[in-house]
This record gives sequence, C-alpha cells and structure tokens, in this order.
Amino acid sequence: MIRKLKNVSLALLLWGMIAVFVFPLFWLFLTSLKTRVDAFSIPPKFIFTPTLGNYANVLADGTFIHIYFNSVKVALLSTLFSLLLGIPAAYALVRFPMRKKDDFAFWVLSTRMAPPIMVILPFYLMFKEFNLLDTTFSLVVIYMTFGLSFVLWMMRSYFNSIPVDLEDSARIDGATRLGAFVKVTLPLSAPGIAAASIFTFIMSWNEFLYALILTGNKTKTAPVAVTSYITFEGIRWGEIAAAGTMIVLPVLVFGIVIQKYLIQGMTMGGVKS
Amino acid sequence: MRKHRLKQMLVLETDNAYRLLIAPITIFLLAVTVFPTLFALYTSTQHYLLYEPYNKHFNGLGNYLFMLQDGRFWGALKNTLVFMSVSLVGEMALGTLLALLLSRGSFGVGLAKTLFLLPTITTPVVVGLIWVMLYDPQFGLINYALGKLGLAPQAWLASDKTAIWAVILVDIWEWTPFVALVVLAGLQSLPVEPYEAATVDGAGSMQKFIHLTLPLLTPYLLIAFVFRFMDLFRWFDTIYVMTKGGPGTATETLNLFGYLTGFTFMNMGYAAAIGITMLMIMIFLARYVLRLIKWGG
Repeated sequence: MIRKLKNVSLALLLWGMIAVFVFPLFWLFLTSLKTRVDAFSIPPKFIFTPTLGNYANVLADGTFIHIYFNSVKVALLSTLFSLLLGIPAAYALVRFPMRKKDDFAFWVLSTRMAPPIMVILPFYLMFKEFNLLDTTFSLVVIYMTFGLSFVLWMMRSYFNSIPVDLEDSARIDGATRLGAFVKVTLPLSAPGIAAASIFTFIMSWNEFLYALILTGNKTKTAPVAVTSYITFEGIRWGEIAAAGTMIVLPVLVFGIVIQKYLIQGMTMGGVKS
Repeated sequence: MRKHRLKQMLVLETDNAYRLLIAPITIFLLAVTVFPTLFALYTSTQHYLLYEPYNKHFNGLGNYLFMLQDGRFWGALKNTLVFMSVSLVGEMALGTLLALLLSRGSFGVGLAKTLFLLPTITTPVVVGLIWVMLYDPQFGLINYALGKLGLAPQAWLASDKTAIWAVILVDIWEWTPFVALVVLAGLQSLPVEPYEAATVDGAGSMQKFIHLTLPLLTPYLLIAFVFRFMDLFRWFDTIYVMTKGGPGTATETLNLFGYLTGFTFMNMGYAAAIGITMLMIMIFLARYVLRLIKWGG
C-alpha cells in the first residue's frame, strides 16, 4: 500500500515537472490563436474563440514568407556543405590507419569552444571589405564551422557501427574502396546521415548571433526578423506568438523525428541512447 | 607507375588516401579558425572605431590595459561566472533528479522523453520571447499567478534585483531536460550484476545509489556538465531578447559586452581585445574540460 502510494506520488511529481517544462510552449501556441483583446485580458484566458488572424497578419505582406524561405535556404545549404566536407573526413577517421585520430576529432570539436565574438569580428570586417555582408554565402560559411563538427562526430560514431566486413566482401567482388564506400557503406548509413542532416539543419535554423551581425534586409533569417516585432509599434503579442510558432514548428517536428539521435548529436556522440 | 599510384589513391586504395578525405575539412577549418584568431589578435592592438576608420592606428596593449580598468568588463565577467555557476548547479541537480524519476519506468515514459526534448530544441530567440510574455509585469501569467497567491507583482526583467535570476531561470528551463536525457541514457546503460551483488550483501537503496549509481554515472554527468559549460560561456540569444544586458548592465555577460562594444559602440579594437581575452579564458579552461571528456568517455 505504502509502496503504491509512493509510486503514484513520484509519477505525479514527474508529470507535474513535465507540465512545467511544456507549458510555456503551449502558452505560445495558445497566444498565437488569440485576438488582441484576448491576448491582453486579465485574468489570462485559457478558453476563448480561436482565430487565425495573427497568422494572416504575419503572412499578409509577404515579407515574413520571404524571410522564412531565406532561413530554409541558409539552413539547407549549410547542412549540404557540412555533409560534403564532413562525411569523407568521418570515413577517413574510421577506416584508415591514421595517426592522431582523436586529436584531429578534438581539434574539429574545439571550434565549438571559440568565443563567437572573436570569430565573428574578423569575418564581419572582411565580409564588409569584400561587400559580402548580407549574403547567403557569408552566413553559410559561418554556419559550417559548427555544422562540420556535428557531422564529423555523428558520422564517425555511425560508421563505427557498420561492420568493415561488408566493405571487404564488396572489394573481394572487385569493387574499389571508393566504390565499396559509395555503394555499401553510404546507403547503410542513411539513417545516420538523415539524423546528422536534420540536426545540423536545426542548429543553423536556430542560430541568432551571427545572423544578427551578418545579415541585412536581403538575407535576414527568421529568428532575427521575429525580434523586430518587439520594437515596431509596441509589442504585438499575437503576431509574435504566431511568427514564433511558425519558426518553432518545423524544429519540433524534425526533433521528434530524430529524437533517438538528438541527444547523441548534442553530445557529439558522447551519449548513445 | 606514378600515374597508377595516383589512380589507386583516387579510388582510396592506398593507405595515405585519407589525406584526400580530410583535406577539404582541414583547409576549411584552418581558414575559418586560424585566420580570424590572427586577425582578431591584430585588431586588438589597434585603436579602431568603425565610424572613424581614417583614425585607425596601432595602440599596443592599450585596449587590454583599458579593459583591466573598465568596471563594465569586470561586471560582465562577474555576471558570466554567476550565470554559469548557478545555471550549471541548477541544471545538473534538477536534471539528475528528473532522470531518476524517468528511469523508474512509470507510466508513459516514452512520451515523457519526447516532451522533454522540446525546450532544448526550441529556437532560443523564441524561448526568450515566450518568457518576456510570461514575465510581463502587467499581462504576464507569472504575476497573475503570484497575485492569486497573494504575492506582490514584480517587474521581473526590468528590476536589477530580479533580472539576473529571471534570466537564469529561463536557461534552467531550457536546458535541464538536456541534462536529464543525458543522465537517463546513463541510467539505462547501468550493468545489472553489481546491483545484484550489492543486494546479496545487504546494501540499502541509498548505499547502492552512492556507492554504485553515482560512480557508474560519472561519465554521463561529466558529458552533460562539459557541454552545458561550453554553451553557457557563449550564451547570448535568450539574454539578448529578454534584457539586452539590462537593466543597466545587470545581466550583461562577456559575450553580450563584446557584442555591444563591437556592433553598437562600433569599437572594433576593444571588442577584439574582449574576444581574445575570452579565448584565453576558454583555452585555459579547455585543458581541464578536454581532460574531463577523455577521462569520462
């Protein structure tokens, strides 16, 4: 009896804490469906007539859609180039006799520890000099600095889990090592590549500081744009919540899709779940 | 013969072909790490205000000497340390507690794990905006709830007494689930045998926790610690959205201070000196951090 009571209370404690962690996101979504009057009502309303007015307002003049797709473009390109450079290196670390493998991997990881302000300042000055501010190129280059370390670390641990025998038998059948890599190992790594891609995409999509400094009106990304809703005509909670929901939604969906790999990605393969 | 060797290398048949595979990433990363470091080092020795570029000149250690006497720098350093230590302790303690609750395998743990992922992957800028809404002195839910409990409303983000704690709370909200999920992965990989042996020897559950679970969990706790540590040092987005370092400089971290110096006050030389100083702090700490990773992993 006491044991049962303990179990129930611990489960209640757990779900109470989960509620605390999820509630703010739920509140964002709820606010996005409120009219201006409902959004500022006291007491705060949980039950009201939902409206899509805020979404209509945000999407009305086309600017946000443009910014949104610009964000997609930047995140896709950073992901693509991170994969192109990261996958071969990860393969080399796993399959070739190479000295100081770990040092190499940690060197790539150390780029993550560099203070952003020190990284961005020289790039800002240089991009300014060459008229590259407010271009997709400049943002993609910067995002690759962290995208590469994720791809390298995640793919290294994924390639490690694929038996080398499979490649060996393909080579006995006459394939070159390159052929075996492309035709055998890469297709088998598809889930890992998908996870690493989505992960890099989310990181680029969420990034704010570099985008704030490097972009202007042409290449502004969604996180930078949404902060400008604050300073426009006062704070428009409904619109902010609608824009915020649209920014967060793809991330949450993608995140849930790859949840098995997410913690692994965030810890650079340090934790496998 | 040579041509043959080259061809063999291109299809990765030779042992040194790994050079081909790691060359692109190496060249790219050298270009984007070594170059900016040298350039920042050079800029930090210049008097360089972006709005008067004609007046750029060598300044020696001037920027660094100025920094050492700048109260705002020391304030930002202090804020960074407070942010880092309070958030780290809070996230590690709460995260471990949550992981222990989750590992009991009660009702709906799969769903719970999924829900826990959400705060950590939510776009940080949006996290900031949500909490600006919740903290709003007039219309925010938090003051409303406190009012119901008979407590006085607070201007959470606008008062220099509460702002720093309000901002820390948001980071704890955002990142505790990450710690919880890392520790949970550790709990789920624990071997069974030592526990059986301990039970045979008559150990209580508290003894088992202290003498078995904690030591076995150490690598996972370290990983969570190290990654939170690195990211807290770079923390920017949510603070920028919520307070921009204010009120006054109450929530200004080193990162934010460097950003404002460079891109609001346009003082490139000084901002570079701040960046280099942060790099040196990080290099100093990274030696220990990397040792921790290698030891734990």
